[in-house]
Amino acid sequence: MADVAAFSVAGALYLGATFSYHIAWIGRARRFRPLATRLLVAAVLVHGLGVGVRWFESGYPPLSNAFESFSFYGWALMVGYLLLERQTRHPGLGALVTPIALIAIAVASVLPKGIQPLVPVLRSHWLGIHVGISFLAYVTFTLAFVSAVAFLRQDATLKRHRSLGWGSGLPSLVALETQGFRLAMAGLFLLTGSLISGSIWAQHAWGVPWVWQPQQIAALATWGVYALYFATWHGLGWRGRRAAWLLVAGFVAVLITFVGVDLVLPGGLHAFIFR
Amino acid sequence: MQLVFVGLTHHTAPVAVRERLALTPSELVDLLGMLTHPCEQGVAPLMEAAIVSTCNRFEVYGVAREEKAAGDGLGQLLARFRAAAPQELTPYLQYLEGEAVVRHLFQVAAGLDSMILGEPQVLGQVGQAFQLAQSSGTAGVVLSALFRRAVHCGKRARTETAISEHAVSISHVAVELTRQIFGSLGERCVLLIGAGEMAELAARNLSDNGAGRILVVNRSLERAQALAAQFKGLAYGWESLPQALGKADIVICSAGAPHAVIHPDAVRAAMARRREQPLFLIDIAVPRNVEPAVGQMANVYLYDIDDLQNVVQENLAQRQREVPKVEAIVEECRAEFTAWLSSLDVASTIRDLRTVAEQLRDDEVERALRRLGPLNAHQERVVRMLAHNIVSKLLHSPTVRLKQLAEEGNGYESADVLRDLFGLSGSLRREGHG
Repeated sequence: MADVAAFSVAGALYLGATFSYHIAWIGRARRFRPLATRLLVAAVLVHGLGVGVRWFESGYPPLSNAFESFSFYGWALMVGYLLLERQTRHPGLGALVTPIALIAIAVASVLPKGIQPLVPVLRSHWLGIHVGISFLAYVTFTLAFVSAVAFLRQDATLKRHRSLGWGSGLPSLVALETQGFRLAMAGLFLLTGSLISGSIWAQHAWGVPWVWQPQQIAALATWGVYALYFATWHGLGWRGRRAAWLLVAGFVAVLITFVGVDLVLPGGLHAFIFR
Repeated sequence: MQLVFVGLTHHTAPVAVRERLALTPSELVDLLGMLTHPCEQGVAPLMEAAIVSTCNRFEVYGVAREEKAAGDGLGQLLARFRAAAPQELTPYLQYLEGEAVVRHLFQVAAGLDSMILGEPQVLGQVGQAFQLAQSSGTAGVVLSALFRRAVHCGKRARTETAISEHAVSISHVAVELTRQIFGSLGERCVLLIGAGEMAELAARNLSDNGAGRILVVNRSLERAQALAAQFKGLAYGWESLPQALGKADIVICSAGAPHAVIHPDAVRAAMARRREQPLFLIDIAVPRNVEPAVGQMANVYLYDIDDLQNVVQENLAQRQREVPKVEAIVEECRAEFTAWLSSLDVASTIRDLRTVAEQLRDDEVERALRRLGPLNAHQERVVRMLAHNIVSKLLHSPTVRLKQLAEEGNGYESADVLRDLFGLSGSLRREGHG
């Protein structure tokens, strides 16, 4: 149960970090900015330790049920954000991204946390590869979504000719747009890897690479949205608000793929996550 | 010993009075000398003095020997120094004593007392005042500590609160907005439409902040070339405006034209050429150079003179909201300084010194007795007396001397040295001097 204890401690630290980012951003108390980062680093270390312990105890990558999925997503999102944060001193992005991770952690905290033996179909090296890559894609898309939200906020403030106020806690428009694009491209690359690795696994397990199961369709649709973003960016020169809204749409597709299809349509091949 | 202050600021004195006290550095040095060694009767000399002199303030900070400060005398000395009648200056002078002096200097350093709230220059000016006093030999222990604390307090106010954040002048707002859109200004192309003074000022500002190429479009090509040459930029005739617009990231319009010269169609064409990269239009011309509809277009940010003015007002209001936080920092710094100052009190220094010495003595005696083993009562008394007498005789002379100095009025200097040498708490010498 050491992993669950670590999870609880990390949860409290995430909460503290989230508050600190908001105090630093909206309350403009700059002293809280380094505190927020320190809390978040501590949370990620404790949480990471918990994930590692669970992996060691169960003998398989902790990505096999709903608790493990949400917990890993929240952890990976925060690690990804911390890597981004090294390039910016602004507290705004942290204030936007931490609540998302906090929601994932909160959802995980009410789910059953016991370690159960794996169902036969999941006993494969492909569990770590396919599910791991999928989660990295989701995390990358989430960070792209946060960049887009920050962009839309900055754009609205500048269009209304208001004092920047909180806006000064966010990177520049150009920086946000570039960051969103790069993250979305990385995410598209990872999602492609997820679809391919899933097909290979399916071929091994059932002898067919593709079965038109709801989550597969949703993942393909998500891939389509980001491919559209990529195409309009290069082909039609879409920038600014239109591009940012596409990233928001992409994130909605991610949510549908990750949560919606499994919650709404149990019984598919991916439904073991919520058994 | 008493901290004293006499001075005038833009709050209390009109410029006609302030300009009478605009002194050159060498005059300031002379005045510092006069304050600490007055040749006139009836004016008590200051033991330490420093002068903060800017275009908005003239302030003398001093340490007076007597508890009852000689405020009036100082005012008259100032008037005589400028060969002015006392009534020309004295009605505008403000006098402070003790903690109020500390609070005032810390507020000044934090930018709370400035004409533009939170402006950064005053911090440097406080530092310069200290350096001048130091090089003139008029800054002693107390003023050195006071001014170092003031600079520390000013820095804290600016890093921990938003009192200096957000531009409060039109040109700085323009630069800040540019940064918010493009990040760094490097490599960004600036287009000036109109080659008047306003355009020149704005271009200078952006260029100083690292903007890349500068293009100038003007009705008179000659004037455009003259302005472009200043910034090693390129000049265009009026007819080349559409092409120039396609190259620019930042456009500053200040052309004197009876109607708009930039229409939505031209901007749409420019945006297509630059692949929807953001375009920042600053229209400081009246009547406006840019049709307002341009501001509705995607990725185009249009600010006219009123928009910029509104941002200035909002930013000022935001700084105003930071004042309580800064006041709290000032109060914290003042409390620290006051605690240090009162530790310089001779009586408490002697008490602390004796406490430390006696503690040391008792510890050593106990250790010695333990190592000697069982002694008879007489032998033990001799050991105790030995330690007691050494400590008492060693401390006698410094104690007497310190009391003597205190009666003369400068015991605090020695008290601070003593605290430093014996490692007693409270010496500012041990800190990094912020």
